Amino acid sequence: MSRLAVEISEAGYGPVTVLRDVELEVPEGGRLVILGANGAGKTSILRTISGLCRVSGSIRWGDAELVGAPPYRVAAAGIAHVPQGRGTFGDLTVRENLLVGGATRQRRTALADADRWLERFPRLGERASRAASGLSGGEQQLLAIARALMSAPRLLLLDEPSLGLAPKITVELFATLDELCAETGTAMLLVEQNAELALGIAEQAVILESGRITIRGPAAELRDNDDVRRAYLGV
Amino acid sequence: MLLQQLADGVATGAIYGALALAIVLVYRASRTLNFAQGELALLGAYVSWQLVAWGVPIWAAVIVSMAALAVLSVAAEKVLVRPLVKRHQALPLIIVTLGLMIAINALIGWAWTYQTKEVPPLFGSGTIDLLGVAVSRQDVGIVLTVLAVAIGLGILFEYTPLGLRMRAAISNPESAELSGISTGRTMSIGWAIAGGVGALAGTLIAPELFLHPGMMAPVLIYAFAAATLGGLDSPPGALVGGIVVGVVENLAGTYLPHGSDFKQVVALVIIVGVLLLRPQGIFGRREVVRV
Amino acid sequence: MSTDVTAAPKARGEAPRRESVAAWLRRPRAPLSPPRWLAITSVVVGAAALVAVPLVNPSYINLTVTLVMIWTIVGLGLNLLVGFGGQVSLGHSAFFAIGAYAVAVGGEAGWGQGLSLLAAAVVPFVVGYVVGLPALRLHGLQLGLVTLALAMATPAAIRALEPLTHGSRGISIDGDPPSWMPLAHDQWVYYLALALAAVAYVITRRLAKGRLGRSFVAVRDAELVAETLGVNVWQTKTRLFATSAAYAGVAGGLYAMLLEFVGPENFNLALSISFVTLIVVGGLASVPGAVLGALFVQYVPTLTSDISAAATGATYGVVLILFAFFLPYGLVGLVRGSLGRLVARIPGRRT
Ligand SMILES: Nc1ncnc2c1ncn2[C@@H]1O[C@H](COP(=O)(O)OP(=O)(O)O)[C@@H](O)[C@H]1O
Ligand SMILES: [Mg+2]
Repeated sequence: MSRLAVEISEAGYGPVTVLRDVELEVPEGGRLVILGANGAGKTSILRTISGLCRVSGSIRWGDAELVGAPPYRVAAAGIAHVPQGRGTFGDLTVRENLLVGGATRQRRTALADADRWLERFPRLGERASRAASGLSGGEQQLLAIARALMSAPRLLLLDEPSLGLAPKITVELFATLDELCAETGTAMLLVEQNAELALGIAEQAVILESGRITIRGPAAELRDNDDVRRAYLGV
Repeated sequence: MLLQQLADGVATGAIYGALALAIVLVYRASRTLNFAQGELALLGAYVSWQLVAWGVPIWAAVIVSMAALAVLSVAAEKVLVRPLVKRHQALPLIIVTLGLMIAINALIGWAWTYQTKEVPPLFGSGTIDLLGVAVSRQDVGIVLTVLAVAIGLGILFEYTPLGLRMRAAISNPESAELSGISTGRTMSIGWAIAGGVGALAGTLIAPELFLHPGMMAPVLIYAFAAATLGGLDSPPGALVGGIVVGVVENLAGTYLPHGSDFKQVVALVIIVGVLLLRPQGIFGRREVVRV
Repeated sequence: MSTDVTAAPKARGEAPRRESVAAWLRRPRAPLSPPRWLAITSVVVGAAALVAVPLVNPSYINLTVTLVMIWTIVGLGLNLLVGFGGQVSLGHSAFFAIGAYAVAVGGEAGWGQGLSLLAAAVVPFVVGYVVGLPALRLHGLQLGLVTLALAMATPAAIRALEPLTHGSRGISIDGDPPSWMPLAHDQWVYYLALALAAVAYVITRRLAKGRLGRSFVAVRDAELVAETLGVNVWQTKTRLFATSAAYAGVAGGLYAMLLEFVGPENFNLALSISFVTLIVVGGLASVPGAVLGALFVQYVPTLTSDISAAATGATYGVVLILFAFFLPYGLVGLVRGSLGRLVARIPGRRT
């Protein structure tokens, strides 16, 4: 039932318009990746969905209209957002970070879930009561994803999870992400620079250039598209 | 003599600490200083006085006054402060809270005249013997009350879901919103608690300073000194800072020549000294310095 | 699962609408541009009127007009700091006090009025420089806090410096003109204030429009950018603070001569607040604003004090809040907004 249908006619920050005529859809449990150069407006799409940008148009989420809803309501409606740069609560402990992720749920469920995540990722479990700012980049990204999943979302918005991570760690992270979303049937809207990996776990893909979508199609097809290969896969 | 001074200093210091706590709560919520914090506390003291004059028992009067000031603070935050905080404008924020300070003071003078009023001490009159020092019951009561409030707030922040939301909203407002926390609401709660704590501080100090419209301005400066000393974003720092300022002020007043005049300069010296030498205060976080 | 979200308001996109009254009030305005003949005529007529005032009026009127000119001087200096420099000061009553006491102490030492007034400019400048040195490390709210504490501590500091200031007893001053001058005390101080206010006005205009003024604004708007463009931010801020303190000092000196007495209680927080109100009401970052603001702080309290003792405070408080929200460019903005078109249509050659 929950399905995201974005029809942005214009979105931006204050007087600056960044996105024009952006349309995308994520089906229930589906996976869409947005590729594009730096500054194309990828982050802005996710921020617009979460209610952080000025926007005109429509963003349907199941039966609900998200345009006009403040970010915390979008989150409460089942859309979790891992922002670019991870958005860790640096001076809160690792466990507290997870509990904040579960802020929209019953306290008891949240506590139990937090323990589950700490068990599942021993690297986080070992540091459960340390300040999150002390974690490595990869650990922080893992924490950010676990924090987002703490709200038991139906859709996960991920903004460049590979940013600043070593290639080997990125590969691991994507495997984990793939596994987690498959387990829970959570839909995924992924923004990535690492096109190879992203196209590997996504079903659909769009390419964004200067605030407009220029190419769209199944991820596998885009992977074989020569233009895309040249521009984003470095071959 | 010295012990007596220390005891007095700790008691007034506890009040400075309580008002500093209100300042810190507001700072944590909105990253701004509320210059009207002292006058809000004064209004709380007057509301308590008025209720007592109408025959309400002082305990009930304090509670009603705290609630009223909590509501008023939230209104002030929503209407006057939030739009400016959103625009990151320091100068209009200063002008507006300064305007609020003057307006509330005038309102008080208009409603209750400029005559001094007597507020009954919450803890009765008389003294208690503590280690050979005669300490007034009110002083002991003040210290214990402020301590209880501080411990209560500590528990709220550290161990409750609401406290966690508030800390998350302070630590990273955008991430907090994205996690389903209404930062607008946590902000309001911060201001509400500040308003209530301020009203309590005003009512507690009123019997000692005598209630009149000019009562709170000097206290506000000491509270700012205390909050600066402790670190503007640290609630425990506010209390420790308050006690230190209270004791220093009392000793300076007694032992320095022209002491009662230098007392007022003490606050200025502390504020300037701390901001220049250690802007984050004793307990504050470093990054807070970028106001 | 998520129907609650629909309750929120619809599209955040802004449809083009007619400008609201609030938006009209908040718009920045260009200065009036009268034709040359009109500008010259108004200056000449205004100057003539100001020169004539003390000759035809009773002394209490001269007193209030002199006070307006004194407040104008403070406002010009404070606006230089706050409006053009973007640095807040709630503590200018301290510099005003230093200027007043410079004249008082100078008078006691037999310096003569000229030298005393010079001291009223120099001493606050030096103190302002020394205070300004650390001030450059403080930002917005912190500087507001420090200067508030300064204003609060001023009366106590004056009392504590008893050997110099005679504490609470205060100091009497002889503000009479030199014996060869056929002027009464009130006329003499009036002309002194008029001359100094005129000089201050002209200097401020030049500062605001010249290279220095531009570097002030550059520092205010983008400190880092200004630095890379070769503006010495540290020097600029410190000089600005000191200059602004000197204005307040001169005004304080005139004030002492006018009242012929200074005491610690003249220089309390309320004075500082009226200075801030002055520039906010007149118009931040505008030179003529200081005059309008000075008229406001001189005459509005006399009107309101008839109503009740609290009315002045209430007016100041409410005015500060309303202006911050609805009239950020003050009365000058209002005047420019309402007369701008009209004045621009008056025929004549413009410069
Ligand atoms: N807060 C902001 N205010 C104004 N413009 C912004 C803001 N954030 C981003 N932009 C602009 O929007 C465009 C798209 O940015 P972004 O969405 O971050 O791109 P991407 O994530 O694809 O790198 C860029 O040109 C950027 O300069
Ligand atoms: Mg981005």
